[in-house]
Amino acid sequence: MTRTGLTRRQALGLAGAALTAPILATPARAQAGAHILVVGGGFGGTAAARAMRRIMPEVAVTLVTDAPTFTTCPFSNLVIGGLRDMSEIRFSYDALHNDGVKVRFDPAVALDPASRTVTLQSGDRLSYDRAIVSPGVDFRYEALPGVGPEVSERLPHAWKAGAQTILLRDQIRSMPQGGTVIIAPPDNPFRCPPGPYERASLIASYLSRHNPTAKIVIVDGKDKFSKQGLFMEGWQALYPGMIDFVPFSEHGGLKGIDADARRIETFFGDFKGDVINLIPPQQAAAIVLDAGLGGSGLWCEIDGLTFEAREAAHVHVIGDAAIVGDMPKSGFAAATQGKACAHAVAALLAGREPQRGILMNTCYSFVGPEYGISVAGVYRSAPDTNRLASLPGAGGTSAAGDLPELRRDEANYARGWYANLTQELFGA
Amino acid sequence: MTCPDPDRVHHGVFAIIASVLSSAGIAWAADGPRSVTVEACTTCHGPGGISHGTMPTIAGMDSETLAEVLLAFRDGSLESTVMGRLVGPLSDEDIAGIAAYFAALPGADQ
Repeated sequence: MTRTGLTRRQALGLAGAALTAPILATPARAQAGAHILVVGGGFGGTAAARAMRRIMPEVAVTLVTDAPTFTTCPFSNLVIGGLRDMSEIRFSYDALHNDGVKVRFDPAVALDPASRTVTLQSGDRLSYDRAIVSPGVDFRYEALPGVGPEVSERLPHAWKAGAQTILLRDQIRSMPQGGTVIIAPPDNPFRCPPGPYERASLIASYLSRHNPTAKIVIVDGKDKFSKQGLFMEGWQALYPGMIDFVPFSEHGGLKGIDADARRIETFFGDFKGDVINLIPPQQAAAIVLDAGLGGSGLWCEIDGLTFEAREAAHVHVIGDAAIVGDMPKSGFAAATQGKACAHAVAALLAGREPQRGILMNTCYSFVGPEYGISVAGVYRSAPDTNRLASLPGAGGTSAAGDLPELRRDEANYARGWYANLTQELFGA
Repeated sequence: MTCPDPDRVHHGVFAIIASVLSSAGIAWAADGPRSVTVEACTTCHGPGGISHGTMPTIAGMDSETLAEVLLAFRDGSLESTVMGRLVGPLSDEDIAGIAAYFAALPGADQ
């Protein structure tokens, strides 16, 4: 891949050589009328834009995103399982307008850290004092054997919520009695580590009601997965014999994909499905890798105190596209980072030292409609490296064992978690 | 490691709360001493600490009650689904600051 743009080191060199005066002039201008450009209208970007206006109302905030509505990946598995409607997981940006955020539905296509500009699909170029970039992931179809992006039209990923969610839901609804659903998750790292297994659970919930002889086979790109013990315990309790987990070591990896025959070939055998949910391997979205923010890798390295990219000054990267220390790639984590990043940017604009606060992540998963489990983590940037590290004495998963009251409570808390999270992002 | 006397810990926390509350001007938007940390609370408990779901509203709660509850989650004397997994690293000062912060915010009925 061709990389453009200056590295942070190059930019600093240039600053020393030629740009001293404008850069020295920045803080005064920044405080009076800085322009913060937020790229991406998902969990990270929306949280950052709203927090920025709340913390520092005197700054101008523009958010650029793809479409006038946003469909959340969290709770999209409930749509696939027939437990929620699409309209319940789709949100508008009206509240951001009301906060004074200028929202543009014009996707960002290029980021140039050297000139501090972002180019939009329309051709418009926007300049910024600081950019907060939360572009999410792109799929690495080149890492799948013999297929391209078109494969998702028949073997949906449903890993970006919207039309793909409906496609997968409807394929499962029209599956013959006794059919097989294959879920093929990638190796780590990828967006929402517990997501494929919550999906298996909620598809099983649907099938147990409408197609009780059907099967689900998870052909995994790894040997272990998030909350594995809790998920397997729940599958045994709610859907005995319906879900089969095939770890990487038992199939050896994908060798071929026949979308017409709905068959995937692995090194140790073939798997034939009636529905195949093929979730491709992932990387940071192209806009940040093309700008050189991934260095030689597929994800952006950032400073865990300010979220500023290691490879470019004045660009802060949050959410799934970044490597944020020990924090997982979750929507909740992205929202938490968005708020913390807004505080850091506000401090930098005001010429203050950013605060080394505590960040938290809590991710709930449904094993059944009234059966919830969770994983939590608490993080703070290390004083020496600024790496966002898990703090000892905290975090972990729900207790294991036959605990029906706890599972019911956590299903209720999962619904509350979603209500409050989406209220903070999109609510009045 | 020696365990501090719980009564002395609580007394210490409440002394900190009193000193935090005496400094006026705490607001949701303010950039206070724990402005990053309190954001961790609101993602689950609702913007401004006002809940729209199952989690309790924490805005406008009595600061001593909120601190008591957080301390009890931290020492394990109060059972929880997830809070016990989140409060472990919070210091007495963190707990006092969080409690004072949300106590100063308008509650759901204000």
